[in-house]
Formats: sequence, structure tokens, C-alpha cells
Amino acid sequence: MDNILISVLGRLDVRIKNSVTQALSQINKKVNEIRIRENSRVYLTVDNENIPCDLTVDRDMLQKSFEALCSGTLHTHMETIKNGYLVFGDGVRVGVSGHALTEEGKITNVYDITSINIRIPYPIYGICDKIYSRIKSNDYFLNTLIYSLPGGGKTTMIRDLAFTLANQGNKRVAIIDTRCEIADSKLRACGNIDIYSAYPKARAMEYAIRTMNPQYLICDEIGALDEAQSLLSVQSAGVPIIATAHAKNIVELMRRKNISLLHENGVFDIYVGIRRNAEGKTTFLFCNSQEI
Amino acid sequence: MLKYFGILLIFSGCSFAGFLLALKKKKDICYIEAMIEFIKYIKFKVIYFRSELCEIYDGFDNKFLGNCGYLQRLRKEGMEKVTKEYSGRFFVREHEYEALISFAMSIGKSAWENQVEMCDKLIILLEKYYTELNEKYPNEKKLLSSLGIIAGLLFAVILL
Repeated sequence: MDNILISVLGRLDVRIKNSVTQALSQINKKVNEIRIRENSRVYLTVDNENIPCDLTVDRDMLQKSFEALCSGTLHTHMETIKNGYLVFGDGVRVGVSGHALTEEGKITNVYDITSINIRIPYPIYGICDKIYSRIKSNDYFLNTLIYSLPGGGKTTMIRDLAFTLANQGNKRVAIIDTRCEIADSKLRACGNIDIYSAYPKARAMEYAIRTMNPQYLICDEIGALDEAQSLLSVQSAGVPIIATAHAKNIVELMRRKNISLLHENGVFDIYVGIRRNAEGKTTFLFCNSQEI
Repeated sequence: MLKYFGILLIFSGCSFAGFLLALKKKKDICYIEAMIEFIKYIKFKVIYFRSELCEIYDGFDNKFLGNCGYLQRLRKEGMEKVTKEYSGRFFVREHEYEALISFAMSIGKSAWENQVEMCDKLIILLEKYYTELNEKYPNEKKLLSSLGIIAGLLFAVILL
């Protein structure tokens, strides 16, 4: 069993842990998500399939698991919980839903947590070799936008790209890690990398360009207007960008207003689609920006 | 001869008991002082770093709490259990005891603003209590020491 999965299971209520462990021993595949909901069975997401465990979760089990995932300190995680998630350990993102208190349209507090979704990352180093030759031009990487459906492997890919650029390429890399999912301990230890954890993306890009002088900028899940505008500034600064976005295919990607704005301004040179079939096999689709 | 030696022993014992009681009072005051320092540290770490509890416990150092074993147990057992035990071991008045335990039970369970508010309220309460104890202590020390000596003399006279 993976170390990250073991550390996650160690935080869960012992009854949930036992139920999940038993289910995993029968499934014999890598689990992508563990979903825990009050008054519902525990569900595991494996290759996009929802597999129920034989345990119905009560409030006590959920609360204990949630408190343990917060390391018993809600005030540390409250800001991210208001944004719907918390980060635990080495890039484990936990989606959180409950009851929100709002004031003038802003969420001021979240209480009565009823669902948590623990996403298990499986960092794979060496995977960027599959797209390396296609996105490299002489001594530089092209401005690249990697797209796929959620859980397609975009974050895994850019993590490895960051590592390759910094470690083997000896380049200065700035990573905009808003949800603290990209950087793991290996990436942090490699040197030549500046990580902006939990910063709002648009502002982090601005700060990185102004003060860190990166040779590459890496950003996950772009899509909002302010992020698109910041990327235009990054482009005008001449810093190559590697970013990701959610989309099923290139057509759906270009339908997104802010992505097509970036495309019209020639921000990206190449678009790389990651597709996974039912058997879990991954294929890559390359599309130069001139072809669109 | 043995009789006089026994009387001297009893007198010394009673005087020493008075002295020990006075020392215990001093330790009770030191405990409150140390807890005030601890709550201020928690407040600082929450405001500026939003630190997790384990990080706060690992980072805090206080000679008195370290010597009595509070800090070592805090890191393993958590604040609620350890504070309940130590606030009983060192005499803490009921109102302040309830406030300390209530704080220890709720730490880490709300947003940072609430945590800081709770810290502020507890600091004010404990500082007031600490001031009261410090004002009373010199007289209590004299009283307990004197009572010890008087009790020793009384026993000595009775035995003579």
C-alpha cells in the first residue's frame, strides 16, 4: 500500500479505516478518492467507478475523521475550508462540504461538515518523458497548456515537468500552487524551485514575475478572467508558461471564453490533451496553436 | 536525651511543614503565571502563523511547566487531559479552573478569530487571579511559616 494512502487511513476513524482496507484488499487497484458522507456508505473511486464499502458512516465517525485530517486544529485550515477544501500531508487534497455562514455574499464560516472527499495523489516521476520531445523546442519548452477531465493526470504531469526542468534542466522554476497539490517533498527538496503555496493564482503570477525572475512558470487549473489577464502579463514578460485546464477535448477547451482569449493572443504554442480509457491506459493528443 | 531529640525533631518537622505549605502556595502562583505565558504564546502563534496545535506545543518552552512534566505530557496527551490534571494538582480556584478547562477543551476547534478572543478573555481572567494571589502571598507565607513554628512549639511544650 502506498505511503500516502497509509498516512491518510491512519487519520480516519478506525471503523472507516478497517472498512476501506478490507474493500481495497478485494479491489486490488489504486484508489483515487475516498468519499465519506454522513449517514451514507463509504465510497471509493477507482478508475472513475464508485465502489461502496460495507460501512455506513455516522456523525461521530465523520467528525473524528475530519478533526484528525485537520490535525485537531481547525483554525489552521479554516481559510481553505471556506474555499471548499483542506490540504493534508504531502499534497493530499480533501474536499469538504457542510453548512456555510455568509455575510454580504462572502463565506465567513463553515460548520456541520457532512461530506469529505479525500483525493489520493500518486506522484509519478518520469511521466513527462512521454510528452517531452513534443513540447521541447531547441533549448526551451514551448508555452504549453495541458488539458484533461478531472483526475486525468494533469497535476502529476506538471509536477514531473517542474522537477525535470529544475533538476535536470537546471532552470529556475516558479510554481503557482494555489491548492497545495503540486509540490510534494521531493519537489521541494530539489532546489531551483520557488513555490507559491495557497496564493491566489493571478497575484502569485504577478509576484513571481516581478521578484523571482523565473525561467519557467507553472500553474495548475487556469480558467478565471483575472488568471487569463495575469497570463497575458506573464507572456509579455517573456516567461515560458506551462499550465493546465479542465476540458474533455480541444473543442470544449476553446469554448471556454478565457482560454480562447489566451489562444487569440497566442499565449500557448501547443495544447496537450491527456485521455484515459476504461482500462486505465493513457494517451496524449498534441495540437499546435496554428492548427486551431 | 532521646526525648529532647524527639521534641527537636517534632518542632523542626512542624516548622518545615509550614514552610512547605508556603512553598506550595508559591508553586500554585507559578503555575498560573506559566499558564498565562502559554496562552499568550498560543495567541501569538494563531494570529501570525495559524499554527497547528502540535507545532504550538512543540515550540513552547517554560521552565516551570517543563520541570513539572506538563510540557512533555502536553505533546503526547493533548491540552485538555493534561490541564485538567495539573490544574487539580496545583490549586486553582473553581472559576479559573473551569475557564482553563473550557479553553483546553475548545482549543483548535474554531476559526482563528474565535481562538484569539478566547485567549484574550482567559488571559484577562488569569492575570486578575494572578495579581490577587501575588498580593495575598506575602501574608500567607508569614502566616503558614508562623503556624508551623507555633504548632512545633505547642507540641514541644506538650511533650515536655
